[in-house]
Amino acid sequence: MAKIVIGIFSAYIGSMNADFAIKLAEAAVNKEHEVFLWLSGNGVTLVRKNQKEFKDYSYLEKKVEELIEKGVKIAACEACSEARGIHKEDLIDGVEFYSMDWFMAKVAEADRVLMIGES
Amino acid sequence: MRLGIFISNYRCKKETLERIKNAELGIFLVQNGVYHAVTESEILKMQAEFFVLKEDLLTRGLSEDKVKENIKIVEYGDLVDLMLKYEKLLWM
Repeated sequence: MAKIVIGIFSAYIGSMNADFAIKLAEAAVNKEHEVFLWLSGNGVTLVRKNQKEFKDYSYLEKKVEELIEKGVKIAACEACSEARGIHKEDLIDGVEFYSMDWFMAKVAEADRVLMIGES
Repeated sequence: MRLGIFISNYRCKKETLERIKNAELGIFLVQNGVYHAVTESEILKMQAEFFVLKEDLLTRGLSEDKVKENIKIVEYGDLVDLMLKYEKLLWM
């Protein structure tokens, strides 16, 4: 069993990176690895709650909830969120709110780290 | 050092990869990076192990028999195992 950190820093809507990261995290937790999902930059938009489901858009709120139930730790960067008007009370239940040093600590103790996203 | 590189788009060029020295490469073609697996892509001439994500092939209507021989077709679970085989991971 390994400690795997997956980070997403690209926007939720308009790129398939969030979808990819969610499926990879699910595959990893299903293999009983310890998985941390870190959202920064525009990636924080993934964990805003009350998302409306539209046919042609990725809809991942339920998936995020499922991963939390499976034991995946999901955290959003506090500064990146607040800068985008996303406050702790706006997050999907179970998503945590940390500053960068929490993420650095997780990276330091991780077996593998993958940062997903592009500018 | 074993370096695993996720290539998620078709813009990635061989010249970019050639700047990476002294690494045993594993190249994972995902999202729009899967198009490298079914075309005469320069990247496939690199000294590397190649993998392509089956789900992203099929989503794009690309059939498995079009994938070049030196590329292994994998699923998400295999990608997790590969992440542990390669020591460092890169997303391009």
